[in-house]
Amino acid sequence: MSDFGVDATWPLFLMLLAWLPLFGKSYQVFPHPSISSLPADTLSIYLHKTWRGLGAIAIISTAFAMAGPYWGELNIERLGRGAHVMIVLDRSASMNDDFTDRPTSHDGASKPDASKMAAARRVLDAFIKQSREDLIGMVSFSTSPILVAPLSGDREAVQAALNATEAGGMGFTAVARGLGMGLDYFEGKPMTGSRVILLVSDGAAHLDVKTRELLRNMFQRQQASLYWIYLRSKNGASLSDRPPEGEEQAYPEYELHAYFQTLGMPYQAYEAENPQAVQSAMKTIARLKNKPVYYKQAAPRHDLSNIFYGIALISVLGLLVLALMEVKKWRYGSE
Amino acid sequence: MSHFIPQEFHYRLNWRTHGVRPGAHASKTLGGNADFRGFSHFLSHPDPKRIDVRRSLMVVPKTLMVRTFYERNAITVYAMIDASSSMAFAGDADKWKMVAEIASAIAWSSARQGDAFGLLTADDALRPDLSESASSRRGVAQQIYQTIHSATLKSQTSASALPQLAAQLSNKKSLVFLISDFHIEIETLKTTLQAMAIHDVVPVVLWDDAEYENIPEWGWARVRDLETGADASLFLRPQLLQKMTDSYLLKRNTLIQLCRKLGIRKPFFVGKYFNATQLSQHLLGLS
Repeated sequence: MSDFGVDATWPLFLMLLAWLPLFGKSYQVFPHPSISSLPADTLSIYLHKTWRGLGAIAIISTAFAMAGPYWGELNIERLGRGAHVMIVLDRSASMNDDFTDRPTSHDGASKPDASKMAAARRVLDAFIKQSREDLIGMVSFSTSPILVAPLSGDREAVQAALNATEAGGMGFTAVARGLGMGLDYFEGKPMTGSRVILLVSDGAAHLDVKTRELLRNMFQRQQASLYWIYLRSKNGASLSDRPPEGEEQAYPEYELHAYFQTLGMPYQAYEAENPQAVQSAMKTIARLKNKPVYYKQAAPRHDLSNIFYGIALISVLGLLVLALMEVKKWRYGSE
Repeated sequence: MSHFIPQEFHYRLNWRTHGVRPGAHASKTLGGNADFRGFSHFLSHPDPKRIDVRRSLMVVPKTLMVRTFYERNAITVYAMIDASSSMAFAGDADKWKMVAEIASAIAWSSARQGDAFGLLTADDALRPDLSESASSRRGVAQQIYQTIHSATLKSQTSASALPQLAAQLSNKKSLVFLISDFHIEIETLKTTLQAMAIHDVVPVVLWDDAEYENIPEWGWARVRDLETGADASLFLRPQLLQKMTDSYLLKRNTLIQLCRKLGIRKPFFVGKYFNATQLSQHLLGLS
């Protein structure tokens, strides 16, 4: 979980200097004709040993502190309620269109923000705000996928990313690449809760067999479930309506829906024909995913050098006390 | 320095010397007129000056009797110096300077009493440079004062050659002042003293007060042995100072006991300064 390390190794060699206080003899001594005539005093002997030890500790801890020791990046395990949600948002040009069931104001004019994109943004914004404990990431895609926010508990980043989608969408709908990128963000992360891919899109594209197989493998490997909020266009086909025989190719939505059902992972499609429907779909998802999740949060590594500087300081203070205790003149009352 | 006059002390022997040179000490040599020995027949000592009429009338059969006397003779006085490194200690007084002072006082006093003087010095080996063969040469006191004063002691030497030094002494009973701090291994000391058994030995012990007594009451000090170079840590406090004093007292008593056991004079302890009067009193048995 945590490992110990140092920034630089060269100061460790300075530890060898601890040899000096341990075995050195260059301290102030008074000559005496015969120490064997003096009584052996245990306290004095320990005092001398303490002095040597403190000197060594001071040098070793200073050298060690200079090396910059730290506890490795600590990951704190946190318990969260909610899911790892990767929002895969369609930003194709068609998202700027209106819903089938167009909400109208009293004067009959359409609301300026009634586009599918605006509705999706509004609802997703509420979802993000509400799901306090979810880990949320976001990928938007049109012709090619763009990473907007990686999977994290940082809600503000996702929200900012969502706000950034106010610029109009463009290009085509590359569902497979968007999903692939979304799934990529689960890769290498600990599986501490249910994983959800929330696909918000208004249409689909035809997936070839190879892509299908690849996506299926990815879903299964990441153990991610899929929720598709299908924002149905004015003239778009419903997912539940079986297209006429032999015309399946003309209805990629239905084809994709059918393919998703074969993923082998939990899959749910919500067909939303108006903003209210989107909202209710999101509520369902929010409710479904409220299972506890364990996740780890990276804490900054702990710099231990201060502790060792502290130890060195204490040792030096001890040495200072001993030095102040030292007799400066041997003879009592001499000049 | 030729005008320097060392301190003078007096000494008296409690034994008769075998000397031939006239001097101040009682001897076993017949002659002279100092110490009465007894009566003798005139024919064995034909000296009309010494005829004792009263004794001649008392003896039966009557014959001429003469008084006989012992001569007063000179002895040789030695100063034997321990030149081990510990003698370089300077506390209240510089020990080595004190050695010079005492040795010259011995030389001076012995000359004043008409005795010959010899100087012998040793550390781990004999020190011929600090030795002087026994003689009655004039000015030797001043000379050895200079020599000893200017001599340097070798570092980290003990006094292991002291027993060899004893062999350098005269084979006649002499008065030997053994000047040392007596921080010698007890075995070396015993061997030395036993080797000098035929002599009259006066141990002169130089113990400075600063070795054990005249030191700060509180504080932490580290001391290094001058002879071995070993260190000792001393957390000075009244309790430890008491212990140190006790330790020296014990050593002092041990030394006195040893001298008594070996039939040697009581040691003369020199502290802060050397006082010749005190030495005189000590030698006359007054102290």
